[in-house]
Amino acid sequence: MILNYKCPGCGASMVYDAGKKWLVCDYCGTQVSVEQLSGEEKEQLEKELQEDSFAQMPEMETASDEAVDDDGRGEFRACHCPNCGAQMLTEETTAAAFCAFCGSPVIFEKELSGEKRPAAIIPFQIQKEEAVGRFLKWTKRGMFTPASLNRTYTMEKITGIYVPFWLYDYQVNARYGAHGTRIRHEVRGDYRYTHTDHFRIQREMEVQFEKIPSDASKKMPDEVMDCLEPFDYSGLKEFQMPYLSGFLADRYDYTGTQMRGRVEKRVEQYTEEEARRTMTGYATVSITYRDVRPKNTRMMYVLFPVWTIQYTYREKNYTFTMNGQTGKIFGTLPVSMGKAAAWFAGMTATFTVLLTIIQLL
Amino acid sequence: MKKKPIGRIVLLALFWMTVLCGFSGESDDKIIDGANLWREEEEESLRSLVRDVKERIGADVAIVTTDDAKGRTTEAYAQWAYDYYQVGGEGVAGVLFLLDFDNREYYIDEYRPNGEAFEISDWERESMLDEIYPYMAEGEYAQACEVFLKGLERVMTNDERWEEDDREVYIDGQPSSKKAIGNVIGSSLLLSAVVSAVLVSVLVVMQNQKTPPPGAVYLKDRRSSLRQRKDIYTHTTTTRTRIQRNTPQGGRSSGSHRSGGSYRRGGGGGSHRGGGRNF
Repeated sequence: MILNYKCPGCGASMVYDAGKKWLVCDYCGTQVSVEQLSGEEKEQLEKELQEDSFAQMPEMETASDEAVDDDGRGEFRACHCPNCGAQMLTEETTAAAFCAFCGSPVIFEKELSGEKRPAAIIPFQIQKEEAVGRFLKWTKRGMFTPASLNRTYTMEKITGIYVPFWLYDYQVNARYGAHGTRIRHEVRGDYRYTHTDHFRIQREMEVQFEKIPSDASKKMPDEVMDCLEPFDYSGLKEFQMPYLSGFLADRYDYTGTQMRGRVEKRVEQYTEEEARRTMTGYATVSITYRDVRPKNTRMMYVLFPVWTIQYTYREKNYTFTMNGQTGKIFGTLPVSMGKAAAWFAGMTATFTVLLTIIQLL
Repeated sequence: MKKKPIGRIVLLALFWMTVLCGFSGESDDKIIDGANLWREEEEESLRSLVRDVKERIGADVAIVTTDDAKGRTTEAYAQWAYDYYQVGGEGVAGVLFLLDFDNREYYIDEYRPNGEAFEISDWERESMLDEIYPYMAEGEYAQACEVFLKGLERVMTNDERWEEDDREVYIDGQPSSKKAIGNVIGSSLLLSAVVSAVLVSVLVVMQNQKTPPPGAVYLKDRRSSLRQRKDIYTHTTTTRTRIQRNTPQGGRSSGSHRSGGSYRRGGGGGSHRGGGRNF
């Protein structure tokens, strides 16, 4: 079933507003809270929508269940927009999208129910306009960023997307053995003595981690999502579909079990960081033995907000991603060769003058 | 009784003979080997060279070695030797090259009769001392004297007169000629360019580098529980290194040497000027 939240006042599509934290109609200004749509009202609204949708497009249910295989590039789904009736072609894992013809937001309820239903969601905290402003401000701070980068007309597209994540709780029992050294110096006569004291270090610890995230989407690169962390979990809310209206969303490509291996590597790394923090007062520490036993105690499927910004600069495409809750940005800024050359020339001149003065003194 | 003019003529003739013979006889080919340094063939070779150089530069030249300066400084000994061994002569310019094995210094002393300007400038003398040093350091004293004679001839005949701009002159390790200063600027520029290139590259990479948050962010209650902690001392290893002390050495960048020359009125009213270097 495809959901499209319509304004009870004028019938236009409603979208979730990150600033107001309500669903808002852009035409008449009607606002409906997400909670209002829960319970009986939500069921009624969805039922009406469903009946309307079936009345207008009797073939829709069949179309929405049909998966179109495009020769191994991924399963696709063909369906009809509940607003204008145009045919929509989306990936099977797409949970929320926009109609390419009328722009109405649509939510694919089938991808968000049963075992595919997220346990929680962090709704967007940063609105689109604010995201653009933060991004432009961020681009100015690069030493070598071209000046033309922060002109808005070079920004191609900004998209809000809910990215599927798995959150893991782990309990870890670990034992470490290490070799540490402390160094002392002494001068006697014409000789300098260096004394190196050697230590055998042992640590046994129990560590508990909670809500370690791992993105479960094929489309979003893992290292990019890692760099958008941390998310503020105080913003986690019980999942409700209206939050997705006005944004793109995907359900997970990888199950929680499939992602466990990657997460456990992080857990081992974090545990070793904790162990090293207890090995203080040494000049050098090298771990010689490790026995790390992580135990996954809990796993939770959630959706996190991310803004993606597409940029074109000198016919080259760049993509930047922003944490839709905290505003943290990750991306590779283009480098202005002119600025780099200017910095190079300035540094060379300064160092040359300093070195010449030092040598002539 | 009427004085006959023949006496004055004889005296005058003797005078001119002395002048003309100023470069021959006892003052010819002054190779004074007080330190018993030279082998026979070396001494012969040096005598021949000295003879040639004297003719070309129009001044007397002496090479003196000693291993006992009799309590004098090298400079004082050089000037004493100049007078003692009658280098030059009355009204005759001369240059003395001294190898003092007592004070471990080699020295160039120039004498000019009253009113005459010194031929060898300070930086020319320094350049000569620079050129001689490697041979003195290696114990090749005959070659050192040859280099001295060649340099002396070059300076005094203007054939390949050293221009200050053409020489890299370093005094006490510091550049004193335009060419040397140019080299300092050039090397500074090259080093600065390399350092700047590395720095700019690192800054470009760092501009786009991001790291995920540390694991402590996900620690429950922001703490871990340490069940066992042991730090056991096992043993100590010791190494020692000799502390480098600064000892005076010869050469252009360290050790003592005098430049700019020192002046002393010679016995005949002329002046000495010289400079030397340790080896």
